[in-house]
Amino acid sequence: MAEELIKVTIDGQEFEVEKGRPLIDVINEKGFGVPSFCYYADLELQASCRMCLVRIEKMPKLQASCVIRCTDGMEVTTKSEEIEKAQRAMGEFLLANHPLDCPVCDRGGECELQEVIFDWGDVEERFDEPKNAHPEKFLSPIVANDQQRCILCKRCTRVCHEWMGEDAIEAGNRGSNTVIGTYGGWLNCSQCGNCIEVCPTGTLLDGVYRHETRPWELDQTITTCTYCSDGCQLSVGSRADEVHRIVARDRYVNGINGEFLCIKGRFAHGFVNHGDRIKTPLIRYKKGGKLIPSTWDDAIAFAAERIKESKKAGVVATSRLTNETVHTLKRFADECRDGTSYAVSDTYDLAPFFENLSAPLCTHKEIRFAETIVVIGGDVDEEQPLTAKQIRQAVRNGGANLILVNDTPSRLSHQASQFIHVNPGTVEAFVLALADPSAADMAAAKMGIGRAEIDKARETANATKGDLIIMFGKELGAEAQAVAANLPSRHENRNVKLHPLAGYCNSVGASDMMPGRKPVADVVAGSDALLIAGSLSDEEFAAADLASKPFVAVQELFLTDTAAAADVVFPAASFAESDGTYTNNDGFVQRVRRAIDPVHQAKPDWMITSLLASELGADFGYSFSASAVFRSIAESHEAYEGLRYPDLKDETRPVRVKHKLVSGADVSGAVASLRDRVSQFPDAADKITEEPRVGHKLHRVTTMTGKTPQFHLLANGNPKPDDLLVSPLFQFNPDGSPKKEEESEVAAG
Amino acid sequence: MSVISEVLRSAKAVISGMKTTISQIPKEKWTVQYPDVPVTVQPRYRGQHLLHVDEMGKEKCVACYLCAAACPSDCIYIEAEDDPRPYEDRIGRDERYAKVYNIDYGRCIFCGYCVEACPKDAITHGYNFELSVYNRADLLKTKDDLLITKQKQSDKYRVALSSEDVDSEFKEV
Amino acid sequence: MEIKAIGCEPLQLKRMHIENGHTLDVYRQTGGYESLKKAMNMTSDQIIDEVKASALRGRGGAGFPTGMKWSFVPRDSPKPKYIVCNADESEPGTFKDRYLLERDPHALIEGMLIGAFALGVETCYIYYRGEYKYLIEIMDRAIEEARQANLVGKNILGSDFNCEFYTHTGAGAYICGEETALLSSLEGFRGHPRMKPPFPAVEGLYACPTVVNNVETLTSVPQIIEMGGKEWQELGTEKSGGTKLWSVSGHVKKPGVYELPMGYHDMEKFILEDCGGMLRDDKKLKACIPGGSSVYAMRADQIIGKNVTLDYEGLVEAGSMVGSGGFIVIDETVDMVDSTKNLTEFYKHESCGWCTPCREGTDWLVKIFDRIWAGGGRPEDAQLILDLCDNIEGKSFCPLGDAAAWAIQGAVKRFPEDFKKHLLQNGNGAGTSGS
Repeated sequence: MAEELIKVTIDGQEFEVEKGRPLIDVINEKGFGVPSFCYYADLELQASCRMCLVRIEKMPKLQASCVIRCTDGMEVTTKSEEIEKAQRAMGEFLLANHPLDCPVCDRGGECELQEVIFDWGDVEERFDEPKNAHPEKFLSPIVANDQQRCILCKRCTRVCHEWMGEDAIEAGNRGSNTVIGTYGGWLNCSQCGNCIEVCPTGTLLDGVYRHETRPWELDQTITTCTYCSDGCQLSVGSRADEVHRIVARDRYVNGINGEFLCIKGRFAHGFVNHGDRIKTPLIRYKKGGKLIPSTWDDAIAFAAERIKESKKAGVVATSRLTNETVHTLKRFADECRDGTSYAVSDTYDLAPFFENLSAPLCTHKEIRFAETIVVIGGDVDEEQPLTAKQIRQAVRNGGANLILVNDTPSRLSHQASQFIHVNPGTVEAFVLALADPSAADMAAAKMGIGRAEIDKARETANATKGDLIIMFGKELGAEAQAVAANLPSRHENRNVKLHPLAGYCNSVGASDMMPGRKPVADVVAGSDALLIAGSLSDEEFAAADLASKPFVAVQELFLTDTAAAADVVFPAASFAESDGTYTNNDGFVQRVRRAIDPVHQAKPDWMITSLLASELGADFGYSFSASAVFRSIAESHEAYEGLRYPDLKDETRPVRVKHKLVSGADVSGAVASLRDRVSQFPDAADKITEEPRVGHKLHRVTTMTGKTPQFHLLANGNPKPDDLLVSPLFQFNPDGSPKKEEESEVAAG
Repeated sequence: MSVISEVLRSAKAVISGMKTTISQIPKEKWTVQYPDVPVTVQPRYRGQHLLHVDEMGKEKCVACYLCAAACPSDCIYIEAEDDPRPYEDRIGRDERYAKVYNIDYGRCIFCGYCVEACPKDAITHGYNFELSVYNRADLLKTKDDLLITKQKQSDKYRVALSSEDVDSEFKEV
Repeated sequence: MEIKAIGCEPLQLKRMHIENGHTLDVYRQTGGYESLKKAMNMTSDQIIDEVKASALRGRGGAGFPTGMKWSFVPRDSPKPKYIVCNADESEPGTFKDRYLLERDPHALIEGMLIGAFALGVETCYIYYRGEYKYLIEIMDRAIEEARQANLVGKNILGSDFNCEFYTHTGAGAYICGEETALLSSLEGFRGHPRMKPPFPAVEGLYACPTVVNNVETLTSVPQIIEMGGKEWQELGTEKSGGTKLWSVSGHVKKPGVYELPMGYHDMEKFILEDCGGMLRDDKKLKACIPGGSSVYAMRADQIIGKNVTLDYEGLVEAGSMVGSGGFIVIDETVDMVDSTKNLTEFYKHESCGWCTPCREGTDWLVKIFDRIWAGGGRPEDAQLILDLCDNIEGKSFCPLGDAAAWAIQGAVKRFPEDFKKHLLQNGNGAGTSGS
């Protein structure tokens, strides 16, 4: 549907614009430029900063252009004496109580207030009264707050409410005493840090990056997040081979996520330069011996020798690795030794889904503008925060219907138009009910819900004219996945789109790179020499008994359980140190870029594997170039055909891989076995009524997040310190217990 | 050519050659007997930098990096750190201070931009000028070399009084 | 305390002096709820036309024609509609609504019922200011009485007209007298003003069409229906009909609530004769703020001998506004710097903090006045104050900023001699009291 075009005159020039667009966007887009603080695209309008005042003919007074929608024949003046005076006045008012402590402020250099005052402010300062003073304090281990720098644009409270649905921060007090505060003085939210990101001044500050360096000293590298499958674009700020902070991209030039990031993406980068990183290759010469530091040449030669000696080799990749690495591991398995088996360690194998995929994957933008969203299982709030934000905005700003099927209530369930609260572990039954109406009664009984709920959900889906998006989490077994992937082919006349809530940053890519993979347990059991890139999950590790294997080589960042059980450990480079690509759950293949040189002697994973391969006599022809690896991917995988790194350079226009669509596949077998499985569910069960605390998964201490000390405090109940002026890190031990006096002095000293 | 005329000519040449020298002998002397006598420097002289402290001995620098940003020869390197302790226990005056503050005198051109840029009056040019070292690496001065409380001031200079005119260029000779 | 009508029959003040005027029985004996019965035999359009014909203008301060406001409500909207009575009377110097709420609550209920009937409203809210909490019982009792008499609730007077009443108190914020802030507060949010447009008549309470009217406006409605719009209008002038209550306070002998017909002639007579003259006979009139604190103060020489009529047009012509009708009379003993400082502190305290100019501007102004009062005045301060007021006026989100600017500008412009005294005696501690 084409938007109606109307004529708007700005400063005497006539433009054709779409009707109803915010005037401020049009003015800025056409290059006239009005300053603003409180206006933020896609957030509720506020019109409180009064910076964007313009004169519109036939309207009394100056108007805030952020709340004006373009109408036909509108005549706008953006530059005149009157407007300039108003803008200068607003700048003067904002600076009146703003402390001029830019040298100490972490925002100095990228502060919107600084920029606007430089361009629109007054040179002369007339305010010489005492300023209202508040001390700088901490709101949580991660969020620092300097109230007197606040200009009350309230982007933070709006973001907290509209994006996160948490309402953790709100304005308190009145008039010039208004401050941004929390309930109870301490933030017990998911600590996403989006309030910090959108803050135009240094009011809300990153407690992890606190006073480390200045923004202009940082090299900004655009890359892709290494945590969840949403694949947010972010900017790694590094200085002198050290990663100092991570921020989202600019809100107008952005990737799929705008300025949104979650706690892990934004703050859990401490692992990159952590002292526990493996520094050199390690070799265990004899079983039962110690891992001894060694050189690369020795370690490669040693590993190659042992793999050559073995009877049957196996390769295990993990889904945090880049496509390049997984592809190289696959080639290693295929080309180095015949009969090498391979696997991907992932909590959620998507093979049955992609084999039966009958509709394209949906993008995050499509979620934002969807009409109906069905979320079956998963825990979007905690595991795919960007997806959760898009769903929330679709419901809140776009009026979308949200049907949430889950056994546990969550933040999102408050916003659902229909929350189908099922018995624990019976989410799959809902897929069955959708696919096979004849089994709906049985499924409803097993889920512990009324049949009417299923019918209501079906009606909502049937009445949908726009996009209908079906998301599903890792509760779905292989049959249920196949059935879910086939669902769209039952609704041919509708825009049905699928969105798998995959577990890791490259779950989709790893699945694409290693077709024909076997389960991890089979590969481990069936081979006597193993090459593992990354670490096995706790369950897989417990089952694998690596110590009994004749030979295990591991490529890792840290000496995890898996690495500690290996005979050769190769120090691998983290996502900030290597080039590559990740494929996210939209099917977008996005670049991972090297921000710093590999620390110590680490090498990118794909390079380690190819070095090992060439020692074994197979030359992959990569010549130490990640783009050559990607070309090899493009040549051997249909979905990636024709792609090259230069095609991926613009993260605002991400490139979709072409997953093959299977229409009209016969899934009756899967439906039947799903029906059998569902029929074995217990008939009665107690529902989980308690909503887990916010951040119960996000704040978990893992190998990677645990390297940022703040996560330990969060995971241990985020205790509120007595002294809010000092970082909680100085007041608590990692386990959340208060530090004794002498200890804290040592820590601070 | 006779010997006498030779001698006369030579004597004339010596006298005319020494005329300027001899004429200066009774006049005021400008030579400074450095290093036996200290050099007099202008108050505005730009010598080795000084990092200042406040009256309580706390470093004034808040590690804002503006000096490093202003430096045309990129010779200043800073690492900032958070110091959450109360003022009495802190190293610097503010809760943010420079953990590392290095100036590379192999690159410094003594332009004074860093002093201009400093919002806290924490860095100024001092008068120490004897910077030559035997080892090039020693040209890198750290905070310990630069702090006013630690930098040893040379006794080889004397700062001119503001009323005193030591600028010979403009002096009538 | 004087409560009386001058120049007309008491209409609003009809029951002020009757014992138990707040009870249903007395109200009915004095002709109450007859207008409702009459109105329920009329059509919506007829009622609105009567209100339009009466030239009733909103008594809260802005003076918007009530009939016009009612006619903006989309009557075919599928959403529920609301009438909200703005009983958040917090303009300094205004206290007329308090007497109506205390002594004549049924008049308000009847007025709202007529409005509700005309606009198809089934839910009415009465929003009290936090400080009037002690009055809310009277209203609750009145609503209960009316419910017993089948005047509130389901099938009112046997018709199929249903209307429910709720009372609610604010928490003591001046800004909640602004209609959109009042609606935010009523919904349970911070009392912040909202964007206009959409106007409350289209999207108000819970995003539904809402009429927000002042107490006095609504209590006028039964009289209009009873007398007929035209007749009521003729009590006043062509553009501002009927009678209006004025709350008189300050240096007069008989402060109180006075009901005057619109266009009462003239202001000088009203202050110096009707209100008993100046409190201290030897002190002369210095200034009068006619419409609550938020309007320009008038100098004595703008009032005396100038034939100022008390209606919307007359006061604008004389250089001020009707506002909420809070008449503050000031004699020559008052230092206008002191009184303006007091007002500035009020606006600073009551600024909600939403928009920059009002929040920071009032804070700054208070700091300047504090400095001046402490003896640190500078000659350029007068110009600075005027410039700051100009920077607030017209740029703030809601009228609170404008109101603050007008009040302060008025004082600085019209009483320069007082300011001069302070600003030119720099450092002499010109402040007379230690405030």
